[in-house]
Amino acid sequence: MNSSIVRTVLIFVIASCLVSHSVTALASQKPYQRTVEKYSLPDVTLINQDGKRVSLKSMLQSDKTIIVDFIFGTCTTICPVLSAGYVNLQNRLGEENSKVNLISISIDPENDTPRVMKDYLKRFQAKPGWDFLTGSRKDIDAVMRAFNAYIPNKMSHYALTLIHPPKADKWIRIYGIMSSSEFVDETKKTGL
Amino acid sequence: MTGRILLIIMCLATSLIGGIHASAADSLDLHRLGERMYRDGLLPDGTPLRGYVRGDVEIDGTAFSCSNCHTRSGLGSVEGQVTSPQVNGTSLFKPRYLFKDQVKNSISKSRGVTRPAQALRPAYTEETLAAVLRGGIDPTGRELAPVMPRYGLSDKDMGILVRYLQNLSAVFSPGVTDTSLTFATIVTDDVSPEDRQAMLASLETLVTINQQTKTQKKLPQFAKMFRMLDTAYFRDISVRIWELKGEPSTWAAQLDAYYQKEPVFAILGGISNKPWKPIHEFCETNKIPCLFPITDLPEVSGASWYTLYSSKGFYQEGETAGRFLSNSIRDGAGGKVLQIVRHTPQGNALSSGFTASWNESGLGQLHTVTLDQGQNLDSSTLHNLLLQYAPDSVLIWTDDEIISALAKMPPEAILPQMFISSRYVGKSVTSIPGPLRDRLFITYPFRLPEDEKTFKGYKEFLTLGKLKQPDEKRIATRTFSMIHVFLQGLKELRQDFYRDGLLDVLAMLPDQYLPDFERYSFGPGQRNASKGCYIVQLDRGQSPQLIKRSEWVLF
Repeated sequence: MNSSIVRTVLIFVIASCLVSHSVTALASQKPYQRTVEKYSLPDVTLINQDGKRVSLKSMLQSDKTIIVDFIFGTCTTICPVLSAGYVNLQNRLGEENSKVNLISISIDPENDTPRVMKDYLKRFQAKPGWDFLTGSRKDIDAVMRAFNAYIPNKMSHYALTLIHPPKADKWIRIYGIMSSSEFVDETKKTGL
Repeated sequence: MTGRILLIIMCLATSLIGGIHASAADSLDLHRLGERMYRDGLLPDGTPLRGYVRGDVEIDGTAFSCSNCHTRSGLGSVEGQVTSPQVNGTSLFKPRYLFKDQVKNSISKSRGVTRPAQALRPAYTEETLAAVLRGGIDPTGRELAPVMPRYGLSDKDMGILVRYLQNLSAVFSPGVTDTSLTFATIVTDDVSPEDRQAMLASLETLVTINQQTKTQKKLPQFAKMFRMLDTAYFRDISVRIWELKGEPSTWAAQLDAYYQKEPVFAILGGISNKPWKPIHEFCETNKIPCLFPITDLPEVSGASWYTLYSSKGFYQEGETAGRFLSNSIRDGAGGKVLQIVRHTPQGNALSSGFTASWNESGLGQLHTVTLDQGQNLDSSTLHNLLLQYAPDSVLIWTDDEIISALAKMPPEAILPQMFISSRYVGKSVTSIPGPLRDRLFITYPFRLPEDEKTFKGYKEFLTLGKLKQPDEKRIATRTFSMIHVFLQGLKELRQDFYRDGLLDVLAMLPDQYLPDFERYSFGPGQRNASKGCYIVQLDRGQSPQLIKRSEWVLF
């Protein structure tokens, strides 16, 4: 093997170490991080899985507990975990489910048409009270920025759940993935 | 030799897995059952695979299959904070090293020196693999990430899954040798010599630069994109030209003959003025990736895997017109709509796209009139149709015959809001008389000319193609976009030359800003990269400018 080949392989090795293999083998085992935050949200109109236009602000100004996450319809890793969390929460809350409104906001609005979103919710056997919203790239970006959750590349997004107790002026920001019982506890703390 | 090794692996797999002694037919069935578990999350009895993530979050395999995270090829993925490692046959049943150690080992081996690095984990056996899938603890005692489901599989089902994993991406795909990577491109005989040349010259650049890269890789004038070839630089890249002649119904046999003669790893680009369907189907049947062919008549299918299109072509224009019109009806415009369709592949694709999005909205009332060959759309036919249906809006999916029909409309004709396709009508769209322009909406499937001028990467593409200005049909620039995306895929693929792996890594690419179409975006299963189209109008100028009337993507 000549020296230029060896050199190239070494460059490749270094680059590889710096890029994907610096991501340690598996996800962090730490418990989720919980903070309380105040957000100023934009007055945008988004589109739900039925193709209906909805005002995000009026949706959030509700007597119900609002829970928001960011996902996309063809996501492979994080979104199914977050969505499994939503499904399990709906199943565990039982009748109290009517006091909670779950919202998933698309971070791939070009692809997430109402049909894609509807199919996604069906696949997860979502119950009423879980809406999937899409919209123009501009509006979606504005929402992500407002929640301090701007993700320029959807493939590098992270698990974030935002919980809003009824009529509260602050949000609970959960960074990471909760177990089902932790999610139920966090939700119940909002006054169910 | 490779075949013999595969046979031995398969025999071993069969004998090792408890209770499974299979004939060839059974073996195929078991493979299908394993594939269904891996890809669709369904157990052999048809019920969903069930497991738990994060301790107590129950998941249903149909929404959470193995291939979701580990990808169809089993080569794994990195998304955000989660790395899903490789689970293909050659990875699981060998010790796992850091990539740098793996490369170090192969260099040592080629020199006859052994410098074994510490493995991250030893090779799995059937028993240790079953244990990690059930309990989440690997053979070193390390616990897997909490987002990896723990599955309570029976011994029999586990045997089927393990067997599937043993054979998953275990042997390189065809078209790859130790020294070469062979691709093909496709040209059909309806394509003009100029168009053919525009695509082939661009593709040739890929081959030439690859050759130059071997010796001149340090020269600064090489465009950044070609540096990505480093991963494959020691292999010669060649692109065969598969010419298809005659009726599309004969294309499949011609493609088969080419493929039998010399298998290729993937099809890069390709060009035809006819519907791409026969080639699309050939690629599906033979599991060959086909990247961004130059076609405005792609096969629009939600279930296909192997062909990636830059857009849905005419279908996408029709779809956008449907959404634009549905939105204006929702905002109070009249809902009586007439669709006049020239019975050609272009007219039919525009109409299919329009009808699909129109039906989704469920608003208004639609009449469709199809014009067969020999049925002209002159001014009197158009006038009569407008009188008969009295529509609030009319979509006219024809070529430039509509321009002369509109120019000769009787003065008393009341014209509704009209929609036409700029790509189908062609250049003469700008000759529409001024007074009609206010009522005319045009689907425009590219970035607008003034935006294209300011688009940063555009000049770079023209330079690469040695073009002073874009060719009218954007063949060279679209081919360069394909090369750009393909090279990123090749880089991510590293040394894992599996066809499904190429499609898997392309699905993970970040959004791309390329000439011609707005934002290319990707995702597992997404097969049309740029998802929009503009609706524009013409201003009253002599050389009319396009006025944007919509966003690129409408809902």
